[in-house]
Amino acid sequence: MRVHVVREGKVARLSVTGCDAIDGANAVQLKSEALRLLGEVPDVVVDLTGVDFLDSAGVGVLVGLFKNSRLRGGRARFCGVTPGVRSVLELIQLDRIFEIYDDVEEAVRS
Amino acid sequence: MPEIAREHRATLASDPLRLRKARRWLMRLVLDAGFPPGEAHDLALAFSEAAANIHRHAYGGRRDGRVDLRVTIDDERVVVAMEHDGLPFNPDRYTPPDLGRPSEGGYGLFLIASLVDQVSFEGAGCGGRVVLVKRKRAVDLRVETQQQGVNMSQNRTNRAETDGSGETLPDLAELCRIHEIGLDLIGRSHDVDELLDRVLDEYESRLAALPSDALDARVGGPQPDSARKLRGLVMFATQAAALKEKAVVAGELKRRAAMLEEANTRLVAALDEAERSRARLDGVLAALSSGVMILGTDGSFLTANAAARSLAGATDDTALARIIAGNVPRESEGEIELPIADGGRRALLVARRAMSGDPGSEVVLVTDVTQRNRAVEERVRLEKLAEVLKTLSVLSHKINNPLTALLGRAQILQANRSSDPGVAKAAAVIEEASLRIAELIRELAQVVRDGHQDAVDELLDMRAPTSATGKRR
Repeated sequence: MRVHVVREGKVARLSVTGCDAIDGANAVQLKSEALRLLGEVPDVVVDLTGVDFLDSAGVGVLVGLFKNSRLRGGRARFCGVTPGVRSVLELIQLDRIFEIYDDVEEAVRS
Repeated sequence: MPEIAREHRATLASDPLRLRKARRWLMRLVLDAGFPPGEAHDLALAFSEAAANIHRHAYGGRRDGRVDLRVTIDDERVVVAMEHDGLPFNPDRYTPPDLGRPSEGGYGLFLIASLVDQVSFEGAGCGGRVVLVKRKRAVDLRVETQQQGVNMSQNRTNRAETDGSGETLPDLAELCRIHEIGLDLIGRSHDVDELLDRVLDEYESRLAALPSDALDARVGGPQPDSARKLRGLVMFATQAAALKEKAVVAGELKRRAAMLEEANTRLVAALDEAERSRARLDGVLAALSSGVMILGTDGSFLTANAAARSLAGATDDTALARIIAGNVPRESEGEIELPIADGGRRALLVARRAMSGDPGSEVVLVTDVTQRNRAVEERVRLEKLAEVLKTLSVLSHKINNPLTALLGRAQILQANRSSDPGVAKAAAVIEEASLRIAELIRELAQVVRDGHQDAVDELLDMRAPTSATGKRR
């Protein structure tokens, strides 16, 4: 699993490769690596393309990124949400709180 | 009648890193039993949460704890029992999460309770047992399969209806995940169609790997295990085929939309070019000093430039067509004269020509020939005047000779005193008349040389009548 962070203007685009799940096996490492790479950047777009399994530990990672951005006065946006991930977010009603977009371009532009 | 339940056993370590393999094993069992992919996903997620709780709470984060797993499946439900040797869980201490306030933890039990139909925690002292029960919602496999073929996400639970777009690719991604088809296929495939082809190839290879008794009806039909596998494959094939059909339709729609877009682009370009050509033609017509008018196949007015209206002095198009074309037959030319404001007249040459490229229509060219006609008249007048001068010169010369002789004889007779007085008187009269004739000839020559045209015109009476004429070409 690798975490990628690319700066696009004032927005950091974060994506994960090499793994189709964010779960208890990788959640701690993923969150730590993501926060390290993001540094002080407040605005982040989390690209979940390719992630089709999300458990409660994975939910904790996403909420952590969401809160980190808000603490820095920025916004966290999510895109590339697969049906499996979306069903979990909807179950916990995070889809009402998170900003979710269809694709990266739309999320970055917003 | 419910099918005889089948039981599967496995032993796991309480290690999150090994949980994925167990999760996929469970999902495969459930799918092979004919459960919908959405329900299989839900059960796998609930199992994953329960296993994570055992690792975290029962074993306090240890990775070497033992978890005995027993999965019992019949055609109505799946029961997953997980036994461990750690601390038992006390449900009374559970507090549901506040869904209005995002939290980084505390969703595990909430997810388990939401995803399965029944969950129980048992245990006392050392050791505990977690049991998950998931019931199949659609009993009629045929109906369920057809529904899933249309849209898999609609057959998931009510909370996860659809992504709203009905797109094929997310459905396909889920299908691949559920059936453990490598997700790298998605990355390597450039379009849905190609991806579906790969999925169908996978289906064929799995079908080929089925035990021989799965398709052998001679010994009382397929054996239960093989039947379940067959049922899973049939569902898989149905879903893949339906998705492929959607992809084909979507591809065809996309192709036709692209064709329409291309045709529209060409049409817009052609219209732009036609508009530019028309603007250029209007510019040329406006710049012409000659009048141009276009008539339709029935002789009706279509358009005309400003010069045509000006030359005809017409106030409206109908009058213009009547004035210009009414006096000249179709496909011929002729002159017309029109009165103008200063009291004079204007001569117009009208030529009606068939218009190439538009059979039946005519283009009418109108030219002001008033000045040209005047020039022709002046040339004719000057030619006649030259003839008159020449004639006068000859006449003067021819009259002068006999006149000189006559005058000389008259003067001789007057000088001869012996002549009869009557003869002398007559000679004086002849002399006076001869001198008057000579003077008239000189005055006439002088008038011509001085250009007294009025006198000449009066003399020659050269005014010619004008009239409209028409002749066939």
